[in-house]
Amino acid sequence: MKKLPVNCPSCESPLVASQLSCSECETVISGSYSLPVLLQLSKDDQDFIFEFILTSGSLKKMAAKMEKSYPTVRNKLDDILEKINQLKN
Amino acid sequence: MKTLLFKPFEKYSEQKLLIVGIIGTLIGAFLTYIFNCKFTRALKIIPIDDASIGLSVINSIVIVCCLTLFLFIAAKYTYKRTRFIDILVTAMVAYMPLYILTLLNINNNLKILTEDAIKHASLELANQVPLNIHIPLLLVRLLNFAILAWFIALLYNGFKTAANAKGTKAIVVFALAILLADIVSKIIIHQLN
Repeated sequence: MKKLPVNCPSCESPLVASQLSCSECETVISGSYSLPVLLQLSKDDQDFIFEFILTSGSLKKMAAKMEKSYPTVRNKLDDILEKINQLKN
Repeated sequence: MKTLLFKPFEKYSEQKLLIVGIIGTLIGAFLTYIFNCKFTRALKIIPIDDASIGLSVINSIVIVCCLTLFLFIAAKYTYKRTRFIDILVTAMVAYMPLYILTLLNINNNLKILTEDAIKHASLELANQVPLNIHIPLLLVRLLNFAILAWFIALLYNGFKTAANAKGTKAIVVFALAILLADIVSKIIIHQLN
């Protein structure tokens, strides 16, 4: 799966979606749409959130699945929450 | 291997670390007893004449309790969601390397070496200390330093994981906690022994 770039490779500013298209009828919509906050996170952070949802939000289950200790997983979640708050502001 | 030796708290669950910590502390207290050593405070071990198993266990418990208490206060100050169990296993597991130092006193070697060194120092012959005392003493000091560095590295990594600690503030409160644990453990052990 291709990795969605979220920052400009030239100036590192956040990228916006400027064109969306329908693969069936080839309708093209142009505009300037900001990416949702979750999509602006790194691939690693997005995978972590995906796993978090799949384990019904149980950090203990996640720790067992990731073969990490509970505080390590909790710290990772805290770091992601901090990043989300920064992106929201 | 690096994770196992320096960052076990990132990988292993608190249950596994607790079992290792309890067994390690008991074995450590036993080594302290059979090799005639005594922890007079958290960061100091000395060779003695007649170690007792009871006091060895009590001293180890006092040290682990002091480290746990002050590190827990420091961790709570740094990060409100710190769990007590994570700090307890950090104190117990991180302290285990220090028990290796008891092996230096096999056959009372360390005691004999220390007494010889003191004898030369008291006779104001420090500059004439023979090489058979000087070199082993230097090796003992180097090993002491290496083990102490390992203990501090383990303790800090455990504290960092338990308290999601970052930055200078965390390092300062961590250092203060160790210092206080060392002082308080010295006072309590002195009273109990």
